[in-house]
Amino acid sequence: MADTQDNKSTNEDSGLINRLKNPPKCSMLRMIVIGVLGGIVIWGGLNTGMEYTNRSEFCTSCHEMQIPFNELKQTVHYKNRSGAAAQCADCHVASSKTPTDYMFKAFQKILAARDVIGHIKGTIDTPEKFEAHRYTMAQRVWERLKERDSKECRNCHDFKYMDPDKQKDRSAVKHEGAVEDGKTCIECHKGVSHHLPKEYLEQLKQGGEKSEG
Amino acid sequence: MKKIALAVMGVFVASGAFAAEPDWSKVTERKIKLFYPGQSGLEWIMNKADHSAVPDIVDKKRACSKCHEGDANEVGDKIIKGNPAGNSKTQLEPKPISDRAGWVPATFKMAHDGQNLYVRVEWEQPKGGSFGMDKKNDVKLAMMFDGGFADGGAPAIELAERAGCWVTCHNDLRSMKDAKDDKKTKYIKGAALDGGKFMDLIQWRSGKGEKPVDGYIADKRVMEGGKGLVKAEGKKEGNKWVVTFTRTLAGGGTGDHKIEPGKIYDFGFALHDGGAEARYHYVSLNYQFGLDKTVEGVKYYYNVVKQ
Repeated sequence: MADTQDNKSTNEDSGLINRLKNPPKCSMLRMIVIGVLGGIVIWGGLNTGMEYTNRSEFCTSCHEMQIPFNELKQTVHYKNRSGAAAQCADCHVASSKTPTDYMFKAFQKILAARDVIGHIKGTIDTPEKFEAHRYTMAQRVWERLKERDSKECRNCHDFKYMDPDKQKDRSAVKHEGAVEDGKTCIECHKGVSHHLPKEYLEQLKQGGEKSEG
Repeated sequence: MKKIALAVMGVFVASGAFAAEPDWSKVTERKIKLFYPGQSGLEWIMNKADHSAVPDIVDKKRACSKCHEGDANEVGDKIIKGNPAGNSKTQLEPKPISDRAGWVPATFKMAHDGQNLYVRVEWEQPKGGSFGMDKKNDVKLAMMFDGGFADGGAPAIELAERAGCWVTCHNDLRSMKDAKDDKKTKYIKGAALDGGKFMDLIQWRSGKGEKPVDGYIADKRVMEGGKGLVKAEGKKEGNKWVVTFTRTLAGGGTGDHKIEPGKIYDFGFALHDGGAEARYHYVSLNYQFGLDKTVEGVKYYYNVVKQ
């Protein structure tokens, strides 16, 4: 009875599914080797894909991304005395360098699909359109940074390792206050890598939020 | 009895009535930076949109000196060149001055003998031509101070312990951004002579035959009325200026603060160089002094030791 059913389903299944259901007999060793190699290929592929698409060259292959990239190039985060440069992904994709934060990174990558859709639709494909959307985009990033306690900044900067004696008094005082108040980098350091949106500058003039970027 | 010596460069008018100055070599020297403030009136300083430190000043009671002693030179350079300053990227000097330094390194020393306060200020002659505004005086050096406050207290003038001379500097003064009256001089909001809400002002002037000024700033600047200034002298030694003030601790005139032990006084200096007037001066940040009094942890405090 069972045999009859098996034959029936075998006939209905395609070759591959059939092979999966009835795998050919093979040694445990062979299974392990195939499993390990397969794992390396899959994980390595994911990682390579992640890192490949984290390169600024990849980001700027969409021409509209040249706009913020050129702004970054004018700042100390790109060109400086010690040659430690931040790339797009260091702030926009970076995990917090904690072992369990890979999911966040992967999630950011998935969200980046929105940029691809935007590119196809041409949402910000001219400087004028980019400017029109700058405030919305900036707020999105500021919000995320704030939520994550500016982890992307803290991958390189940390209150713990700051030497107040090497900072200007005003910076040392500000950082001391920021620690007291539990503030996070982005609250004061907006516009350190890209131009501030005109709407935000307008807000500043009205006595709104502050930025010292 | 008011006797004032003529403050003629290099001329010392000796008189038995005058107490002797201390041995300055034994007095602690304090380095300061006199910088060009442009149109940074109190309203600019206290407007968050212009100056990101407003919450620090208001909520955390931070003084100007606490943040800016280190970079006052950079601030002065930035302002005098007309470069954008602060959060709002304001051009605080609408008419940039290319031939003048943005700041002047200076030092002061202070001492007392139980009768008088002695102040000595030195600075290098900064480069730059004459503004030609003050025809009589090429150089003027002023000191301004408040009525002091006891430990744990606050000065009569709001913000004086944080902003120093800026409590007298406003956007609507002559030569300032919102000036409507070219006679309007420094003033203090809510000033009251009998409530101690005024700044005492003493000034040395370089002009031949010019008398030192012993005045005050209340609802306007008054350049007379004080009885505390015994002497103000100035001289140029090579490229260096030295100005000394002798001022009684008692004061006693109109607009004179009494200087007494136990209190902390807020003060600052202003240098009008090259015949400058109004905003075209170099100023110090806020400092504090007290007589034979140690204050821990305040780097802009100076202990005036009895000699």
